[in-house]
Amino acid sequence: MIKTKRLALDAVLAAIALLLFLVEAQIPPLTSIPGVKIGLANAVTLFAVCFLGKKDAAAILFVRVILGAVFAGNLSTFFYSASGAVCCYLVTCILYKPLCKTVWVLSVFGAAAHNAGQLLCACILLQSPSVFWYFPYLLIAAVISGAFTGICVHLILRRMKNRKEKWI
Amino acid sequence: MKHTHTLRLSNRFWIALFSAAVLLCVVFIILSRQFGSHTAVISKNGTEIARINLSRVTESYTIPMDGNVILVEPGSIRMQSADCPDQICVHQGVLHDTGRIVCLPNRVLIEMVHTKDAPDAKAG
Repeated sequence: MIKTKRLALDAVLAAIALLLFLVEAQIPPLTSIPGVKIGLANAVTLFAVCFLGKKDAAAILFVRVILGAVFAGNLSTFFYSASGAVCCYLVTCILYKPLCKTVWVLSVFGAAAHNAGQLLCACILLQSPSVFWYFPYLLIAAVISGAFTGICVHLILRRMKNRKEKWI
Repeated sequence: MKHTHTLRLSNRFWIALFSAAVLLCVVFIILSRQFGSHTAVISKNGTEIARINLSRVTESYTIPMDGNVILVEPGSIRMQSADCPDQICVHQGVLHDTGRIVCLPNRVLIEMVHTKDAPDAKAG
């Protein structure tokens, strides 16, 4: 019974992440710098790592990246979102233990890793190391958007804390 | 307020650290803008096609590439049109002193180069 519930929660979270990813892709870029966005889909990853654990989060991430690329566009979308998401996930998992009390800090590091991963991917795809000139812009964006999504996740976690036993 | 007591020492430490990081980035951006030259490099598939000193351009002209049209004006450069559906490169706007315009579908890259310092050494 509990396992089924957990699976259902995984599926719902994957659906939410996919929806956020697709809706966000429709918003016109805020700046002239590609890659600057709110990153709401990463909030779901962060929530899953904190609430369900690393394995479930990896599964949700996998589903989101694959289906996101299928629905949202072409192969380059897939590479960019996959590289960013994997970096974000790895850093979040590594830093989860020391930083699990301050989720927003974890989120900022995750967002920075996401942008770094995407830049690395752009560097390889475009074969131009000069894309790293973007890094300062993206770092500023990561601090702002990471803090925002982190606070969102923090608020959700606080409300879900008492019901954790019901799910897992 | 319930929020205020959660703003403990560790939070303040992180806020200070991130503010410092943002400040450092802003300083870096301002410095790189000031000392940047006005040379635009156009490349396709990672190989350089043209190198244009924008401060020496006196009248505007267009560079047609298969799929993309690049508009060069005195002191600025931009993507005029593209055959891709999302038009991201067209919406990336005008370049003056820094930044780059990327067209992923056609693998075209317009970037402003900085002659003084190596771009990848600083980003580390």
